[in-house]
Amino acid sequence: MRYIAVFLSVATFVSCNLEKPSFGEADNFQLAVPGLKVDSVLFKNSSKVTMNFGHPNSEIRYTIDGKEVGTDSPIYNGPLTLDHSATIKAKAFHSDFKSSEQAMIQVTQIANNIANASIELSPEPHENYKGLGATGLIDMQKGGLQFRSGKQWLGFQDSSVTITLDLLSEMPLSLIKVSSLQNQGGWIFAPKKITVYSKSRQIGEITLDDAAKKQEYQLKIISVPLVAGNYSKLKIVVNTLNEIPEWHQGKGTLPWLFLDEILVE
Amino acid sequence: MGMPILNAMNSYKDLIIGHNSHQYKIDMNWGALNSKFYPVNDCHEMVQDSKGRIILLTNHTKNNVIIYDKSGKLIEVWGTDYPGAHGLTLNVENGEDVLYISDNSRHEVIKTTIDGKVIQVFNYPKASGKYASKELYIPTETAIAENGDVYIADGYGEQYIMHYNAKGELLNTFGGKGDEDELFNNAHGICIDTRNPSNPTLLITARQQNKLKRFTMDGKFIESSDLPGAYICRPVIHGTNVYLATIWSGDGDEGTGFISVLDKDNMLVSAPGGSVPIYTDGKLEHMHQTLKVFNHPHDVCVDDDDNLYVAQWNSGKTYPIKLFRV
Repeated sequence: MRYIAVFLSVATFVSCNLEKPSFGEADNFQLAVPGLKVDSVLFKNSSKVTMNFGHPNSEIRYTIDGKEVGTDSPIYNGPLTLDHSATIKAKAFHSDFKSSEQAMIQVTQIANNIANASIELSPEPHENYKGLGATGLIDMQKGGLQFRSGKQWLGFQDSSVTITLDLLSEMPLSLIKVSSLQNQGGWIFAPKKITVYSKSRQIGEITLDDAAKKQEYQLKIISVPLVAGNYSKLKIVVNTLNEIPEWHQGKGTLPWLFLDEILVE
Repeated sequence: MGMPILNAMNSYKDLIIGHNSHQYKIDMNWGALNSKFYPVNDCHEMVQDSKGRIILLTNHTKNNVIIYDKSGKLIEVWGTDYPGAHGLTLNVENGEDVLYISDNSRHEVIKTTIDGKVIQVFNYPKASGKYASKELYIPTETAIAENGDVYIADGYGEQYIMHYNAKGELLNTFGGKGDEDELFNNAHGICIDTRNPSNPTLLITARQQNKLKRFTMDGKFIESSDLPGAYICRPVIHGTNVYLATIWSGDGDEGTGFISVLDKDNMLVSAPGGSVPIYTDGKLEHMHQTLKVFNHPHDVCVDDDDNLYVAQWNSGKTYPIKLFRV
């Protein structure tokens, strides 16, 4: 009864004061997603994870096992060092507000760091999307979906791009991975075909039959199996579709190709 | 019996946003109107006129200008010829309020009376020699000096700042595209900083660079204030502060806006909706949204009570929000 009286008095007060603003109540508002960053999405030994959220008296809780974050998940209180592939999820909490949506990032441990290899590109990337140049393809830094921001993505407006990779010494290899972006709305298509040569001999090839099909916006890592062997010099030829397919507004023109990393295993 | 009452009390906790000297309660529905009769698309900018009325500019050609009183009551609407209505600046000339509307789609700036009669049109600045065609010029904002000179920022075009005299004759062109101090990446907003009355200067936002840049009135670069993570739209001077709607924050993701309030030295003192501003060794830590109050704030108007009105771009055709200083 007592709290019904409270409601009635509030209702009366509001109805008698139409000019009075009705202020937003704290618990109707949601916290924004906390900052979640890693020093490298791809790593050889370890990856450092940092989180931040600049609202007083709030906390960030997280998981690293792929599970949803809840009120019983551990509280973040400093950078984490991960030495294995993981999916990190984080959420912000505060007693006055709705908890945030979940931030998520994946880190992947890679077999070989080839950052010291020498690499050449032919042709050079487009003037507007030069990224860090050829060495950006082996720097173990991945680009995000926002291809215009950062320096990780190299964009090409060419039907064929040749990457010449010198690992400096022989490595036992059976696979290479080419990391590309697919953003068909932005006229960026995945490659059609990737061929790998060593000393003029073809050692691997993959054709992507679905490259011309309508597909979602995604980071696409394409694996090309190699004839197992010891290799030091590789030539990787990435071919795009000859033209953007019929169903797309850019039909008949050359699609963009975006690459950010080459991995060897 | 005590518990339910406590809970009831708790549910009436007003939201307070902002930091330090500038904290606010918020009325999300302040400017809400019936969209069948008074529709908006993007709510781009707002100013207060000499009568104390709050004037909103939207790119909906049914009513490009919507005029409210401070309580949010509709007074009048006008304007059907501004499909790209973007920048709104009020200036008092010979005792009369006049408006300067920067129109992105018309590629020109139109000066009108307060009730919408066209006084003057600033066409694309062919005389500058910087523009091969009208379409390359996409003005976003104006600033009017004490002597009547008009500055126009081409924030969505070639990034030049045009300086005209009151008659509309082009006196100077400066800026342009680039990362250097004197150049811009999205010269979105401009105002005249009269906080030092003996030495007025221009403040111009470089939105993509997260910087507020100061220039002399004849276009020489003076200094830059870094606001990392804050994609600031236009500077608005009120008292000793600069207020800037901040359309995105953090990494520039969708729906991450907040409001920035700078002190007399252009240091961030309050970020309603954003993270606590912290300076370490004179450098502001990277700013980000913390509360989902705003989507994409595009302009902030400060009234004579120090309350704020926030107009938003691309935010579900919502009307302006009012912030009451506490």
